[in-house]
Amino acid sequence: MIAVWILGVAAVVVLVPLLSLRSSMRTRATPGRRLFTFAAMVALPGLWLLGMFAFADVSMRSTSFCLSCHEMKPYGASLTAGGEETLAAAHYMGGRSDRDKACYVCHTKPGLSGYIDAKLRGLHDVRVHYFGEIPETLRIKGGYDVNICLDCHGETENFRDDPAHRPVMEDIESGGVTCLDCHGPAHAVSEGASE
Amino acid sequence: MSGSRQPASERMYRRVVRAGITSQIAGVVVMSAILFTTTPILLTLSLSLGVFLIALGFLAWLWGVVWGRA
Repeated sequence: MIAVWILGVAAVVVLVPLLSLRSSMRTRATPGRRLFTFAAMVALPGLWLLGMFAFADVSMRSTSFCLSCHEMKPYGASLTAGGEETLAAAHYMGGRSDRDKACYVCHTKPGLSGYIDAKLRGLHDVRVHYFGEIPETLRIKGGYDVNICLDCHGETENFRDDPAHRPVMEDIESGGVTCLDCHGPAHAVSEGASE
Repeated sequence: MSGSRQPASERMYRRVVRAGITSQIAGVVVMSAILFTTTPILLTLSLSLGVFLIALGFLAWLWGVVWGRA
């Protein structure tokens, strides 16, 4: 809430010099005037833009944002349903991932490319939600990427030293065997949840 | 090299930079909608449209620096 106030006040701080500059346009400028023009048209809007990007990014990572589309409601309900039997519930209920961004953490591939991929998939999902035909069974395009699991678990002793993991470690790391093959389904919904 | 660059007329300079400022004002207003909504389509549209309008202002300023000074 405080970020809304800060960015709201900052918007006014950005608008005032712009309005002032617009009403007093001059071609032949003094160095001071040029500095003011730079501040009003580049520095202040640029800084404000970065702040708004960060704010929007945090908003769009939130679990409530993902669950605001009705298609996601069963998946959201599965986070707290049936004890901790499914992977999603175990992570959410067991406090193994940040509850405020539970969807984002487990559905975004690691690294910058993963972030960009998540944004592009998000744009696709928004388009389909508002303008497309929503399929009865939801599936992750290209399947679930095991690197998302390995980003947190890959280097832990519990994972490395587990007798069940050792024989298939190479297959896991190459993507031949996924975590969901043994630990699925991820969500307790009727169909399409684990893909 | 600098001799080949013709500065724009005062009228042209005012028109372009004023349009850039107007675009940025609109961009700030449009993008401020992000602060008041969590609806995915509104977030997406206000973010992309806001960035576009503010970027137009940046370009107008850049044009003013390079070609606008008489």
